[in-house]
Amino acid sequence: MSFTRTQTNDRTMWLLLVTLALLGTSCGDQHSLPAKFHEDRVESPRALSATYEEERVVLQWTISASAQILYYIVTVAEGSTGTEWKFTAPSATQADTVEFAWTDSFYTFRVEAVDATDFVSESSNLDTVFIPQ
Amino acid sequence: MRGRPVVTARGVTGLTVGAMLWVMFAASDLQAEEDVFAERQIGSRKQAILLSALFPGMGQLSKGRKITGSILVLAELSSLATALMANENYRTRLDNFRRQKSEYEEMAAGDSQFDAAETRWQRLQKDAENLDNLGLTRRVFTAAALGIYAYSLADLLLFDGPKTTAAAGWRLRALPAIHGAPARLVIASRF
Repeated sequence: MSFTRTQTNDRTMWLLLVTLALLGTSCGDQHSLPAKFHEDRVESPRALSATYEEERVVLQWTISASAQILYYIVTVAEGSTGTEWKFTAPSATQADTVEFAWTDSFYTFRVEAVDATDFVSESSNLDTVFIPQ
Repeated sequence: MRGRPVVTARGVTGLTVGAMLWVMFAASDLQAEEDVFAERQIGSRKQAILLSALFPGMGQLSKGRKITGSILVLAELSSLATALMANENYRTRLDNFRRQKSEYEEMAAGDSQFDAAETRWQRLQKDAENLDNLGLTRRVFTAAALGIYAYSLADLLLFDGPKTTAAAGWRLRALPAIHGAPARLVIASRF
């Protein structure tokens, strides 16, 4: 079998093009994002309200009944220093009462839900209360 | 009859035949020279193809096409350098991305926080975008380097054949002289 010069050139060009195509496809990206799990993992408490009554702060929030909550984390932050204190509240309730050695300051409250795997949900809204002493 | 040359038909014929023989011999010599030239061209062409196969533009440089050769060499060097740097950068960032991805996936098992997972997720998204850009840069410049390589070879293989009159297919023919006009030789060529 003999090839003319034109046929040989055509074959060479085809070989080059096939090589280019193979190399082009072999340079595929290998950085796919993982499945996003954290947004739907644990429902976060909503509509948090904090009310100062008789040396105590009463917190109330809402969460759906179907949420698989093990307990809640209540975080109190003192306004001037930003110091935080954390308390836990049982899963059966959607309210909590915080008794604390208050000082004359603003206090900011937020609540997070925790599921059975100890995954902490997104924080609820913040609510701030001024506590005069 | 002395002192005046007599031009006979036989003499004219002899001169014509002589001229034709001279032209034929001269033409054959020219053809031989062209064949030698063509062989030289083919020899240097093979060498040029080999050089261009080793590195694009080198073959063109070896054939004296300095501008084309220089452009191809520089384009290939810059494309390769950019592709290699992008590839190296991609590999480094890919390792970091994979580490962060495995850490994020470990968070799904529990004992972690939404905020930490969200921060890690946003970082992963940003890294993925950077990797996309690097991957695109790597692919584009790799393709450019390969394209320049292919062009360099194709330029020599397809478009840089031997340029001889025989190869070009010249057809020379003598035209009949016009009656009564002074003797002349007319050569017409059809390209």
